[in-house]
Amino acid sequence: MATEVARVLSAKGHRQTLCLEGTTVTADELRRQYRKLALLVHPDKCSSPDAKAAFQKLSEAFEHLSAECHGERDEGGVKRGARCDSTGPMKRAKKRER
Amino acid sequence: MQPASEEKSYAVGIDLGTTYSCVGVYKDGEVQIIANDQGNRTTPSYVAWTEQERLLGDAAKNQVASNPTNTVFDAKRLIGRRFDDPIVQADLKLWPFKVVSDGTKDDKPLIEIFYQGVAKKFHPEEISSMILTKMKQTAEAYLGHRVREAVITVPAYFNDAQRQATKDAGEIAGLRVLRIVNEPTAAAIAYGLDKSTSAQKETHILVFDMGGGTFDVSVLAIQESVFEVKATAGDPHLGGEDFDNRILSHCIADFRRKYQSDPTRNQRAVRRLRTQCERAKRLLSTQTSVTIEVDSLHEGNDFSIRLSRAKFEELCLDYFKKAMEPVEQCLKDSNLPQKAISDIVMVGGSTRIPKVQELIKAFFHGKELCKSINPDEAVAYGAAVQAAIVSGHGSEEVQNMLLLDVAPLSLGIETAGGMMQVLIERNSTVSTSKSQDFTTFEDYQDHVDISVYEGERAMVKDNNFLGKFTLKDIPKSLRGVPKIQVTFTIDTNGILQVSAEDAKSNKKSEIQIANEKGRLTQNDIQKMLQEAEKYKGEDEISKGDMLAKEELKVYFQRFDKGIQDLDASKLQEQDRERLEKKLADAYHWLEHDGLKAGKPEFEAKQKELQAVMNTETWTFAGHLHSALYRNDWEWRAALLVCREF
Repeated sequence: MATEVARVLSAKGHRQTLCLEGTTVTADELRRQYRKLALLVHPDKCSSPDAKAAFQKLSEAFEHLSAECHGERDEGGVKRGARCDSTGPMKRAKKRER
Repeated sequence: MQPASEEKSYAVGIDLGTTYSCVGVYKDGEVQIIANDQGNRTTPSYVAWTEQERLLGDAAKNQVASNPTNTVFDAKRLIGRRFDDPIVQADLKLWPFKVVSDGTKDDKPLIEIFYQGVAKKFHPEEISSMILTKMKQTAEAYLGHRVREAVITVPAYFNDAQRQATKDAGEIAGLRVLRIVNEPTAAAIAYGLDKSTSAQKETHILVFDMGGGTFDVSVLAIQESVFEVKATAGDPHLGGEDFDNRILSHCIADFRRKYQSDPTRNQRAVRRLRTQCERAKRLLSTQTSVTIEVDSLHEGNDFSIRLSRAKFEELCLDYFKKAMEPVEQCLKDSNLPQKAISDIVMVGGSTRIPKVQELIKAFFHGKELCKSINPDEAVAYGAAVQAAIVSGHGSEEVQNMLLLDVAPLSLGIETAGGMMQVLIERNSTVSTSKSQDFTTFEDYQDHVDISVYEGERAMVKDNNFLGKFTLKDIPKSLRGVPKIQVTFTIDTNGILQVSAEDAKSNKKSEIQIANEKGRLTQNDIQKMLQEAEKYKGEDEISKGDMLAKEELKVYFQRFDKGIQDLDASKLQEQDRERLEKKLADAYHWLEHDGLKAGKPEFEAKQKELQAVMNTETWTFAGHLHSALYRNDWEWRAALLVCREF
């Protein structure tokens, strides 16, 4: 499991994080893959000190990819669909802070 | 995976409810819900102070009518809130005990009671910690081991401050809080284990959790052994007690009309009436009408009223309808159509109300509700499973489970113009960490104030303020140039930590949010821990006193009976008189001086009586001795009863 944590942390890009490079997946398969990996790296399941960071990276990758999938027809629904119409993290403009 | 520790230690799951609490433990491959010393599987979340001692749980609730101002309940409705919170102000009017502000800028509420002639003030966290202590003791008595670790549940819709405060309460009770878990999530685990579906297919369930004081709804996806919360919504102040209050107001109005007198100032009367109202509400779940009766309620007037189920529903209908809004919201947030929900799990005592069931059933177009799990125990059951998961003590089935929970409210900071900039969106899976870059607003600005809020509104003034800190010594430059990275991290307990860092100077500043608001400081907690220890000591002492007193009483009875049993041949008349006088004196002492006496005095008195007996002739002493101890088992049984006490 510690090896899985290391793999997630060293992965480049969201698809690699989720072990989904070069594949097309449905929202359903994506979720299944996310849960499978979550079982390996979640801090509750894995005593590695980096588990928390790995899980957060995994969740973020899942969020991004499921937002991409959201355009497609999706029976189960994608979590946090509401955020799709708000600014994504990439487009976020610098907000001025007083 | 954590290795199971060698020594026997258990982590328990505690459902710390507004009105009732429940404790469970995962043991020998299954969850045991633990009954308290009264044999009840749920314990009232009540603490009371009498002349002599502090009472917890059933003992406290049972004496509430005779001691209303010193009996504290509903601490969960105060925890993590400010005194000037409108909800607190509204509740205040209904509580017989006194709540005051602590007078600091934090405006924390304090509960004031009188104990041994002195006014004492307690934080809601301390009251909750006493209830947690009771639950801990209940578990310890059952397990025969010390319990040091626990998972405690909170309503899913509890905010940051309320979660922190609950965690603090656990610490004051001497528990290491492994995790704060959302109540509907815990209930879902109970449901999931009950179904034990190892199906590959993903199923969605909706948990409708309406208890004594709080209400929340969660939608979860269950696939194999992973429980993922998709969305959560609710009302932190809606539950059975609100319904009780409606019935109570109805009764008081009726009393006023009948007798032209107002019982509301009579705390004892209100309390007695409230108890009957709660009873009536429960009965109305199974029968169509009840009679609420209280003899000599106020100014010698008896009160009696017939309440039909239809009338009860009419009184509370707006509440019931209000409860449907979070259901709708939750479905919307999870992007699921109604038909995708495969089961509706009902949790919490208030879900027994037929009208509530009817409304939710109608909302889902007549779908049958899942009532296979015990609505009072499901949350503690799930908490116990989560405790086993986190502490690594469970069986294989449990070890393969994973719980992914969400943050109930959006979290963000104030930006120019009082706008709320959200960093962590509502219903994000925890734990999570989000960063965003901000910059300065004016030329040569050397510091920024970062104000943190939670809520869904666009303007911060409409959201809930959590805390604020300042990042200083930013290298001076034109506005818009500095790059300040703000990072929000929510841990698995749903508790927030915020940090800000200037990219150029690497200056960093951070807060654990709840320090600012409502939350107790580490010092406070330490102090309260000591208080709690002291109280425990006092409780022990007063228990010792009580025990000695009861032993003495039993001795008196035996002594008395011993004398009566001896006939004239064995005991001469003058001796009898002398002994009876001695006994009467001792009784007198017990009733007067005995009130403030402690264990040493009681024991001394018992010795004194024994001495009297020993001065008599040997034969007499022998007879009395045998009379006194003839039924040795009876004597022991009597003592055992005392010890229970």
